[in-house]
Amino acid sequence: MKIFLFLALISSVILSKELALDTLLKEYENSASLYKETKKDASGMLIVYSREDLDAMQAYSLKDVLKTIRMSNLSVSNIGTLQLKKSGQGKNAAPAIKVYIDNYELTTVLQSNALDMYANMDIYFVDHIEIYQSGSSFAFGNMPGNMVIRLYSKNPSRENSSSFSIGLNNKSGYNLRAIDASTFGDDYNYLIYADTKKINYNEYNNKGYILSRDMLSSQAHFRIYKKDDFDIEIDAITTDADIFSGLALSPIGGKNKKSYGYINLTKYFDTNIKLSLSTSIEKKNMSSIDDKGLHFYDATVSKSFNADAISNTYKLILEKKIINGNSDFLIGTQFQRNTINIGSYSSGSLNPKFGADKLDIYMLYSEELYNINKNNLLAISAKIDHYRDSISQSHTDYSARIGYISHLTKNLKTKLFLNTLYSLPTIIQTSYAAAVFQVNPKLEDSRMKIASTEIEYIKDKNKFITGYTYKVSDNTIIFNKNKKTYINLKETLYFNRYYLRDEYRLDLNNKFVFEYYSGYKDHEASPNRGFLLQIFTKIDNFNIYNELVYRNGYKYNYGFGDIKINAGYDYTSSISYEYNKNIQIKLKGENLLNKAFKSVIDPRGLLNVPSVERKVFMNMEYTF
Amino acid sequence: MKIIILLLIAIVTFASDTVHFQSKILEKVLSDISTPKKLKIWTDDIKILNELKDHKVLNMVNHICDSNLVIIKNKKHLSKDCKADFIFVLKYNLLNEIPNSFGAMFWKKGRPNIVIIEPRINKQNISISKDLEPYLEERVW
Repeated sequence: MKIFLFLALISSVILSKELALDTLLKEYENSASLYKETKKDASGMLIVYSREDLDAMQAYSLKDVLKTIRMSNLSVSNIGTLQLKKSGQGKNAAPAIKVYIDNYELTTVLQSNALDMYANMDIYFVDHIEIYQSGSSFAFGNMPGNMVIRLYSKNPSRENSSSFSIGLNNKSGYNLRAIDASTFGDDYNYLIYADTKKINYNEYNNKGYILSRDMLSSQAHFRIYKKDDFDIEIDAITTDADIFSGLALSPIGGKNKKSYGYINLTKYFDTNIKLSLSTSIEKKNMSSIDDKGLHFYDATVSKSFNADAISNTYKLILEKKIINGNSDFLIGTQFQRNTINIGSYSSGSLNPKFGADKLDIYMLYSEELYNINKNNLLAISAKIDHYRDSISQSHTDYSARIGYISHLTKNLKTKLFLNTLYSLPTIIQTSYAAAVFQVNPKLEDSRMKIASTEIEYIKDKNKFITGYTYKVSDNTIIFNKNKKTYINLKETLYFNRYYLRDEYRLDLNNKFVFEYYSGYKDHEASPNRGFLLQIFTKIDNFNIYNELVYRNGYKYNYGFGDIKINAGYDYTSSISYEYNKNIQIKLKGENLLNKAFKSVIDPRGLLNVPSVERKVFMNMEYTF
Repeated sequence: MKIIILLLIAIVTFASDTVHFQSKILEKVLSDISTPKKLKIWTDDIKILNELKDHKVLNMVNHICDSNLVIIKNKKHLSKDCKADFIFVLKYNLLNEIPNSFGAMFWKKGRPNIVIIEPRINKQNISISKDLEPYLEERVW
């Protein structure tokens, strides 16, 4: 803590000296930041991680960003995957978080949430990240969700380079990354990226049984496009991880192997029409072997479980934009087919039941952005979705949203959004899951009504933001541990949350961010309060970054009596040195206090594990 | 068309800020070089040309044939009939493609950069101020 305070003090008093032309170049870089082109203020409550932020944070993987997001907790599951839960949510919650890479919404089917696959992805090829909370605009055309995470890849016309990076850490983990991005011909852009890494974690001894979640992972990404003409995006990711505690608490073996890939083709026509075609494939193989036996939902017990399956999605999107006077109107339609092919499913004497193996989704959505005058914008969007599955169940549901954005003065901006939206049960809840719980094909959509407001005040070097969200949830999907399945809760749930954020920019290279949030709900099964402190400092060729993420302590009862989880303090510090224009050397430590927020693995409270462990990374980057 | 949608305003503001700083950098570079002839400047980047056209110090002209220094982002816009004495480019690879270009402003690894090629300015009798010395390079990579 003393080191942190010392660095904070240094940050506040030392300013770097720069040449006038360097200052102009930096101002140009800031003014041309790509997030200014892509961010959509009218689309929700927005948090932006610019390229400058991500570089300074030494955010190697997406989890480095996820752990800092307000009103959410980065948790680790019993099978070792990283999951982003909303404040207060418990172990079994499956929040509807939608993830995009450029134009494409990741369509993982076998995993309830794309972050199960992508939370650990490297973001070396990512320029900036936008996070829309409290229900985003339906103009994104995504499947229903109340948080949208958009990753934008680096712009090849700004890269014009090839880079190679090698990283090592004190847990004997490594990563290798390479990227090449440039332009050719008549404004054609391409980006090629590949990485491979080994992530090692601490092993946990649970009464003589060793829990490991070490992981090997590789990813490749390719994009070629011409602005306003066409766009081709291809991505493939694969992970092979130890099963951690698996489906019980006495593991003696098991693996969680996953892979996912997609290709997305987009064509832009002169008449403001956009056409996209895409397909994806996902493979999952999970095995869990437990010394004391796995307790399946039909009360049978087996030493092992093994399942593998493949899913595919096919998607077609057609959108048209009409700009007329003060009106900017978008109408879009989508068709998506999800299929599952179950390979093996070995679950002892249990006779497994599965839900539908095919789901067709027809979507129609529109958004009107109407400028009342130059300082006031009205945003209205609606979406209607029709679902038809292979066991002849069909239903239709809708979402609607009205937003009002006003620049009250030059310095003061407000946003107000009223949303009604639904959350679709995941395939894991309805059709295909590990045998420790039973799928429930009869599960219905849950409905949320959200009112949210935000005020932003900018004065000189200071930007202050405060926001409030009130949410009512009906038909909420919860896990019923007695029935060992997911059910719709009849009771209505109420939530409210507020946040305060202050960004103070001392100069072009030095800034402070402080953010605090607090939420209220009836049952808190994870932290509901937290703060984030970030200090960005540049001294000559050194970039120094300090970060403290706090999550409050709480008590919860998973059926074995109250368990108490202590407050978490995750302190990250990093320094990078630009040796010359080609070489950068980086050093980073995360969870340095070893007091980061912990997730509950054993519901009796006997084993709690931090999603971010204490690690020190060293990285070297070479640019050609 | 009277489109004043906030989003569009934001995009327009973003674009004009970008051109403003781009022009400021060019203004600084061109003010820090001395040539045997008084400079008459033309660029194929219309936004920069518009931003700098009323500049008090830089002498901007509307046609390439009236200029002796050109700022080029597309090689096709160089004229065979009206050869410029001095060429500054807006893409790094143009330094290779146009052997008599003496400097560049370009993006690399997400950052804007300036480079002045020392042997070329020496050959063209261009002298530079001390402020530009950190941007000198011996050769084009």
